[in-house]
Amino acid sequence: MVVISGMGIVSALGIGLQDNLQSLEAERVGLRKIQNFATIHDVPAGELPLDNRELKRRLGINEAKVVSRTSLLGMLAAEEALADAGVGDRSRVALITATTVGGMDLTPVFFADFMADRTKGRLRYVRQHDCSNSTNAIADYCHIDGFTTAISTACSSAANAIMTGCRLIEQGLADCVVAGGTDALCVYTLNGFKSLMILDSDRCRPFDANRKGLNLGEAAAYVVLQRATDAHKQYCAVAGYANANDAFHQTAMTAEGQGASEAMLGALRQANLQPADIDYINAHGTGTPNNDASELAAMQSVWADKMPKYSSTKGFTGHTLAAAGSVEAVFAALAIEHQTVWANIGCETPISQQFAPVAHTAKCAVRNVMSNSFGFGGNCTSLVFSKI
Amino acid sequence: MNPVYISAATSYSDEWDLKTLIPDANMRRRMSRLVKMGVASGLQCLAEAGIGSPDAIITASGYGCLTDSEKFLTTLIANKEQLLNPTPFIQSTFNTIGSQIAILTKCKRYNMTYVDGAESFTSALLDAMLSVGDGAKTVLVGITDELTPTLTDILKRMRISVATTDGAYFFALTSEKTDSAKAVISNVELIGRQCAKNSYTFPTAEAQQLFQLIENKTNSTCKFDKLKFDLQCL
Repeated sequence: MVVISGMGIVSALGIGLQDNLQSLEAERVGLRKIQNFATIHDVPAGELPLDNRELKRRLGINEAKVVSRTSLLGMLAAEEALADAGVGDRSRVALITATTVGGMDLTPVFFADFMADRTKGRLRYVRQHDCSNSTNAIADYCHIDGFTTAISTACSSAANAIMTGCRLIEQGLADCVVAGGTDALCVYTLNGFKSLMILDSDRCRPFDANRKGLNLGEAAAYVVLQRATDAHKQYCAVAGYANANDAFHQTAMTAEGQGASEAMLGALRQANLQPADIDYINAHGTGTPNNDASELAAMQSVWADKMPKYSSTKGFTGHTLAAAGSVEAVFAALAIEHQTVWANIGCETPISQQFAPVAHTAKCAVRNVMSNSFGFGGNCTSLVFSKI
Repeated sequence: MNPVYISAATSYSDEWDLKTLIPDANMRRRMSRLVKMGVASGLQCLAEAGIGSPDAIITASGYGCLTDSEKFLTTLIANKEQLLNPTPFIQSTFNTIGSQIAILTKCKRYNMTYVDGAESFTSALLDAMLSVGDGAKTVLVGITDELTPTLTDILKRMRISVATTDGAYFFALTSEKTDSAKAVISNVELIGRQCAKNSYTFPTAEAQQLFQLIENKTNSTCKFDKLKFDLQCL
């Protein structure tokens, strides 16, 4: 059995597990107007209330050094996770990290000058463009010397990183894996989602009948995966996982959410659980008309009229893209540890009155939690976490 | 890990008839050169292996869809964040090739994308073997990377010379030995970061090496970055 033996997170809800837990418990939302970079778009986002200078100070990195924000966030969260698990010797620890942004927060700085004159533009701002840079920066900072790699399957990336980490352990190729994702907010992604016209200009309203779109967010979250027999601490077991593809459209899901239901059923099968065994679903619930309708349809195809409690926590954090799967894996593990389900912030008029999401953070018995992550490209991954 | 068989290996060729491989003209039109190379190579590989829809599609790209990223970024800066066409943004997502292959082969099963620089392909190949370990009978795995004029200029300014050409390399893996099996991979071992090399390698280099070993029927102990295995040609 693979268990989560350590966790680390930085999100708009705060730096570290405690801050994030307290915000979830107090229903304190992390969305604000973007302040860390210049943009013409006045939309709420789950931006970390710390600039790069402050992040570097906390990490003990020289302020003058150019480091992508994606890496900075990742270093903080991965180190917290390893320390939490009490992993001292990292020489054989593996790292599976997910990102969609990579160094794209820095590339525009280079590119604005380069566009005008191809001999111009400071190379230090483009050197970190490819995603392996954040992988190596995190591994170097945390002294991880085992196998490392990076995954990018859009918004399901970090869930896939956790899944791959479990498979490495189960097939005997690793004993300890740090798995998760990191994505910084940046002008490129903000404009990408703006051009798709799926950004809500107000706070997002997941699973609300009148939802208008998503809010972006930034975060990094990692879990330490180990065999139960090797772990000092055990938050919960990773009981099941499944990856499926909707194979329909590059950016939209089928109305009935075929890929999503395949992923959910696959994860249940692997966990050897019946739908009724799931106490809480941390839904993908981005707040876009398409995602929430498809996801709800897929959930109803699995649970029919016996829907478990469910909520999207994106009203707290914004959609943290490649990090969303691990941010929400951490929230799922915290739900099990604290026997609490988290509020679905922003939903006033549920799409379905009969199957409304969790209105407020509340104590309740939580044995098995499903966490959904779906993305562009039809990538759908569901994870199941179980109380030990 | 159990041995894994390679039943087809393809390297993108400009001479392929893309209209046959990707019949949908609209889809073809929206694809950048990189996406076209990747999708065409993946489909050609499946066709050569006689696989309609594989149990897993695993793609890799060190740099991703640079042309589309550059197009979106250029317009973003030039138009000061206004009136942007979303198509290059959509196509700049790293999993575009894997997703398009899934749509074209109606494959709703496992789909994954690795983006770890020069080691992207190694990771994808490892995942292909993990997938076979998880019960997959057929896996499509490959890498696509493009040496765009901009990347060439930037690498030149970094004083990095690229010895290889860009392209796409795809491999069809099977759990059982088939009549068309070209090679078998066994004795897989992971290598930690300390042993990984530091010099610059274009991301397609290792896949190209594997392709050539298979083409030339050369048995070898492959020591790629982070992955070591025995390749025996059949």
